[in-house]
Amino acid sequence: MSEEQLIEKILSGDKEAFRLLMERYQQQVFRVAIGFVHSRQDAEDITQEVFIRVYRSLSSFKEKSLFSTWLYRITINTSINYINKNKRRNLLTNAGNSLISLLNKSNEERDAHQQLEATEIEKSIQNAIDGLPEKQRKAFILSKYEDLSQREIAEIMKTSEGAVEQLLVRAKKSLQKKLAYLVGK
Amino acid sequence: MKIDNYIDDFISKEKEEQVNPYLATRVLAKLEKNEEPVIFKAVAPLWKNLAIAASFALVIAVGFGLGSMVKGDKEYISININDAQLENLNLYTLIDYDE
Repeated sequence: MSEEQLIEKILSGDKEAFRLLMERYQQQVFRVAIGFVHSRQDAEDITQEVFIRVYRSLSSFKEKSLFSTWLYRITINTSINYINKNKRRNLLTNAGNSLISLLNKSNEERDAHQQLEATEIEKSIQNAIDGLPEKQRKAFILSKYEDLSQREIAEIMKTSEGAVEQLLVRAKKSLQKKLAYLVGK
Repeated sequence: MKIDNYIDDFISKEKEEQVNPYLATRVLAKLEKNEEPVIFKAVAPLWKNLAIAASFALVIAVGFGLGSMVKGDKEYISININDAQLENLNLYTLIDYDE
């Protein structure tokens, strides 16, 4: 069934058509969301919220752009709203994780130490991605997590391909600068 | 190990995560659950507004009824007073003060 047919059916109240649409797009929404929040649970919450929004505003979808472009925009906005809403909670979680890491440091087993180091590296990368300016972060996530072309990213972000290229170059430089200390490890 | 490799490994690991297969069912259940309050919301304010308006009307009618039931013992004499004669406004405007 084509996208247009699915949308038409959903608008006439067919819930099964909406299920099909979700099953078709849920993995890509989830991947973008996880790129923003780095947590499976949070990414699932965002995916759920995205589809609820899609269902409620599908009638306002104008077929000037692709459905996937529209869906990516909703996913990005929902993810950013989710992050802003949960900033305080994330601070507490991070503080808790740091405390756990600190307590774990007393464990002198080699495996545990290596695991801790790997976790710390992952945390550093996560923080570096999260610390990117909003536009760079959006472009970076769409490029790396969804393997989208610069033209597709430009369409989603409503900007030029040149601007996207610049954003990606700056994001890469910024990440390399922030993570330079990892090279010696 | 190069920084790019660290980043790529991290992203590949996150990309491997699979969405919950029951997510679509959960979303549909949530949508169906939320549809009921929407209908209720549309009906409830109308019902509420009517009840509030009726209670106001009732209170006012009862007030009028009680008020008209009361009859005083005294009979008052009504006096026709011309306000213009009662107080001279020139005292306040001071128009004639200099003269």
